[in-house]
Formats: sequence, C-alpha cells, structure tokens
Amino acid sequence: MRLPIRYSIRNLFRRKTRTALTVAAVAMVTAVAVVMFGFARGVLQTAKDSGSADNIVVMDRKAASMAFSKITLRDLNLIKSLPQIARDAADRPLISPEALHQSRLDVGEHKGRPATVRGVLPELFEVNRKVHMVAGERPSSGRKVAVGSLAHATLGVPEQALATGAVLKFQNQDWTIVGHFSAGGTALDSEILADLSDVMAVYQRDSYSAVLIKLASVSDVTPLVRALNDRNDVQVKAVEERQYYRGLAEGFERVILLAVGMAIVAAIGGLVSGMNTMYASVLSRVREIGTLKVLGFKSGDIVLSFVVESLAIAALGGALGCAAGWLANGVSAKISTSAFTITVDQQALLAGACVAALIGLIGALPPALKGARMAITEALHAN
Amino acid sequence: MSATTIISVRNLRKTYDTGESKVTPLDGVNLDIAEGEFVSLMGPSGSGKTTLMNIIAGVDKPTAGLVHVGGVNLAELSDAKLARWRNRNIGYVFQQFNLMPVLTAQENVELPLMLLPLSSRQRKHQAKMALTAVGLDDRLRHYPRQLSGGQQQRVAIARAIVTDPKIIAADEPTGNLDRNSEEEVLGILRILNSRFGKTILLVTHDPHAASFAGRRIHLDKGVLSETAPTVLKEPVEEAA
Repeated sequence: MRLPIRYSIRNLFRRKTRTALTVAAVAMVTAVAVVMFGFARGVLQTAKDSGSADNIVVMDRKAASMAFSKITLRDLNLIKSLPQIARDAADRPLISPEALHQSRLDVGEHKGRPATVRGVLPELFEVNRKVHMVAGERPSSGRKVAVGSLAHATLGVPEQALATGAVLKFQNQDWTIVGHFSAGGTALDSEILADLSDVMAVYQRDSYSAVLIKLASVSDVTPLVRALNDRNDVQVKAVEERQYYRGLAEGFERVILLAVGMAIVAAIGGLVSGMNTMYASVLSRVREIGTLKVLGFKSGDIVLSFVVESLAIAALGGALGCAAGWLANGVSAKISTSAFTITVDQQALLAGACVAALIGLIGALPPALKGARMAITEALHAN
Repeated sequence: MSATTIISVRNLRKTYDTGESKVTPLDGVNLDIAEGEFVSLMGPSGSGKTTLMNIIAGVDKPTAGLVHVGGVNLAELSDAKLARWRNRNIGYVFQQFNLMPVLTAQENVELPLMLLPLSSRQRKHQAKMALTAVGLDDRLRHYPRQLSGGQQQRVAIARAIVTDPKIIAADEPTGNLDRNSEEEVLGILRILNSRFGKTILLVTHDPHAASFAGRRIHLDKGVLSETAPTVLKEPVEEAA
C-alpha cells in the first residue's frame, strides 16, 4: 500500500458522528447475522445430533410424523418378536413404545402453553442413550413427569417455573414435576416425559404413537427397515431414527430461510449505510484525490486507501457486532413446540465477520472508483 | 528543440466541451522554455494559463499538438506512466496549498516519496531536509491547521521539491497569502531557481509576483506574447 494507512485511519476521525453511526450500523447488522447464523446452526445441530445409528422408528404407514401415528398392540407384539432387536442384561428386548401428544399446558399462572408430551416406559433410557436424568427422578405412574432442559423455552416460562415439585396442568389433570432430563442437545430436550400408561389413560388411547427399537447391530438397520416396509400383514413403516429427525428438521428450513432473509435485509441496510458514508467521504475529499494524483499516486492507490478506510469501519463494527452476537450464545429459541439453543460458535462469528467485511468492501468500491476515476483537473476544481 | 530546452510546446490546442458549447482557450500555442528558466505566465481569467501549465506538468492532456518535457513526448505516456513521470519530474504548488489535513507537515512532505523505493528512515530524512530548506524544521509535527497560510504554502513547496524534480509548476502560489508570506514564498521560488537550477513555471495574475521571474509570458485569447526581461528580485534571505 503506497498511501500510508494512517492517512486512511485518521480520515475516519474527520467526521466522527458519521463514522460512529456507520460503525453502529455495521455492528447491528453483524450481530443480526451472527445470531441468525447461530440460530440456524442450533436447529441443524439438533437435527444432526438427534437419533442413534442403530435405532429404528416404527410408525403407522400412513402417518407423516409420530404425532399422527397409531401402532396397535398387535403391531407391537410383532415388532417385539423381531430377532434383530438388541436385548438388555435381563434378556428383555430394547424397545420403547411411545405415545406422543401436542398439548396445551398450564404452568402456574402461564396458561395454554403448547408443548410435546411423550408417554414412555423406563426402557426409553436404554434405547435412547442420550436421554439421562440430570436431577430428580424418572417419570413414573401417578402423573409424575420429567421435563427436558429446553422445555421452559418451548413453554415460554421461566426455568424456575419448572422446578421439581411444580405442577403442570393438562387434560384436566395435575402432573407433578419429579425430575429434569437432558437429551444431549437433541429434539427431546424440548419435551415433557410422562409415564406411558398415564398418557394413554388420560388421552384415552388404545394404541401407541410409535415404537423406538435398538438393534443389536448397525448392519441390521437397512435390511430390517426394508423388510418391515415390504411387509403387507402389518400397516407399519420403519425409518432410521436419524433420518426421521433429519426429515423433521427439513420442516424448519423455511424458518431458517426466513432468518437468513432477515440477515440479508439487515446486511443491505448496513451496506447502504456504509456506502453512504464512503460517498460522503469521497465527495468531501475530491480535491485531495486530485492532489494525490498530481503527486503521482494512481487510481488504484486511491481506491485502496478508501477501501482500507471502509474496512477499518467494518472491522470495528464487525468486532462490536460479534461481541453482541456472542451474548446470544446458549440462549433458547422456540419454533412451534420445539426449542433450540442458539449456537454462536467460531463459524457463526466467522459468518458475522464476513458480512462486516463485505459491507466494508462493497460499500467502499463504488464511491472510491467514482472518485479515483475523476479527471485530475476536475477534481482540483472541486470545492 | 535546442540542447537546453526542457519544455517544448508545438501547435498546442485545448478544447473543452461544456455541454452547450465548445471552449478553446489554447489554439496553436508554441513555446520553448530552457532548463533553469524562471518563467511567469500571466493573463486574464480564462485565458488558458493554468491549462497550459497543467498540460506541461502532465496534469491535463491537449486536444492536439505536441508537448515535450525533458525530452519526453507526454502524449506517448499512459496514465500510469504519466503519474510516475509527474512524481519524478514535476513539483506542483497549488494556490490553496492542498495539504492533507490529517497528516503532519513532515508526513505531507513524505507523500511523494512513498512512490519511490526508499526506506521509512530515508523518507523521513529527505522530508526533514526539504522542510529545513523552506525554514520549517521546527514545524515537522504540526498539522496544517496549526500553521499560518504562508507556512502551509512553504510545506507545499517542500512537498514539491522533496523528489528533486527538474520543474516546479506553481499555480497562483501567492493568491491566498498576505504580502509578507507572498514575499517569502516568491523568495523561496527564486532561490530554487537561482541556487538549485530548478526550472520554474509560475502562473499568476499579479504583476508583482511575475516580476520575480526572469521571463514573463502573457497569454490572452490563446496568443502568447513576451515582455522584456527585467532585473530579477533579490532572494529573501530569511526564507533561505
């Protein structure tokens, strides 16, 4: 760089207010980009982490998801008899029938909050090994439930509202929280686990929603999925558990696209702000540009000087924006009856930094090129 | 073109298109300037004197005609080569000083040296020498706003001479100065010419400023005329 960097940097202080406003605009845009990217990362990470490679979900052949599926006792017995199923130390098959309901819950003064209630047996903890209790007891009969680590976000209530001993109300029954579980960042973290019999009783069900199976060998997964799907004597379909959750995540793509769209709109706003500042900077220094050219500096030297100036604004705004975005790390965000943790990792910060750098670069080029291309004599006559 | 001729202008024409009409301030101008001459270019506003100087300095381009400076046909140079040529051969002094307000006096003078293969230390040394030559060695770290008009113009002269160019082109360099500062600046130009052999091209409408030149050229309606050389003004000692 032939024009000194200090020339670019000191010029930032000639119009302090405008520079400060532009830094603030870039910071806001960067923060939005970081948070939106972190949100998308959280959603995708949850989908990626949900499910085990050796697990299969068996559902009603006509159902699109567990919530609308019905598995009869006959189907369950047939599934239980499959020889590929892994067995526990007591030689019982590792199979977890579940009843899933999207319900509206009252949590103290918080009424009608949507959530997913999953009726399960203790076998769930063997079949889905990411689920483990972090406090209290497992769900059990007598309407004793356990809540997931993101259930408060799904319900939109403070974490302390779901403390052990708190009472949830749904289906005109009181359900006492007896424990808290973690599902290792997977979709179950948003849910409430209850005893299977209790759920089937209060919802007056005579069928299960789905059955989760752990197989003895991962190599059995694909052949068994194919075999179950080809059978005509039962109306069930089998899906690899990971594939099932990936499919659910696809439903969130529109939300992610919306988040990306918001980030792009914000970035365009930042770009206009940055460009406006640089146009003002160029226009106020046209005679300087002419002088520099008389001294022998080329158009490229001058463009580069303005780009450095703009990138300095972008760097400062980007750093502030990344710092602000970082504050959102770990915050829960809710979509429908699921909650996700915003994950502001290195990639999210890098995305924010790239947005800031692009604003700095693209915002500087048109005004800088306009100024640098001006005829010397015309530039020298500028006021 | 004689051996001592540094500037040769032949059949120079410059036409500006203002959109509504075409203006031709220079039409068929011929001029030779010998190396080491101090030439003043006078004329009424719009007579084309600054245009002529800008074309000679490689700042503007002619519509037609030939301009040789130091044996170089400027029309043959690309914009990039012309910029490089200006840096090494022309020291330009503006009426309004045109210093960079965010740079100190020394940093302003260093600017043309940024384009030469010099170390930072060499640049600083040469800039200091140039500022010392114009009597501002005690103002190195001052910003333009901290200097008087006369001092700012002396910084601009230091910037113009720091690359040791053969030609100094000064466009109304005293137009914004009081009488004392004007004398200082003109005295410095006179010394640069008499002591260091610089060829000076001074555009002015002020007869007093023009009287410092050894050769006075009048430009009016595109026609050049010369007045007889006069006894040169003595250099102003304090500026040396």
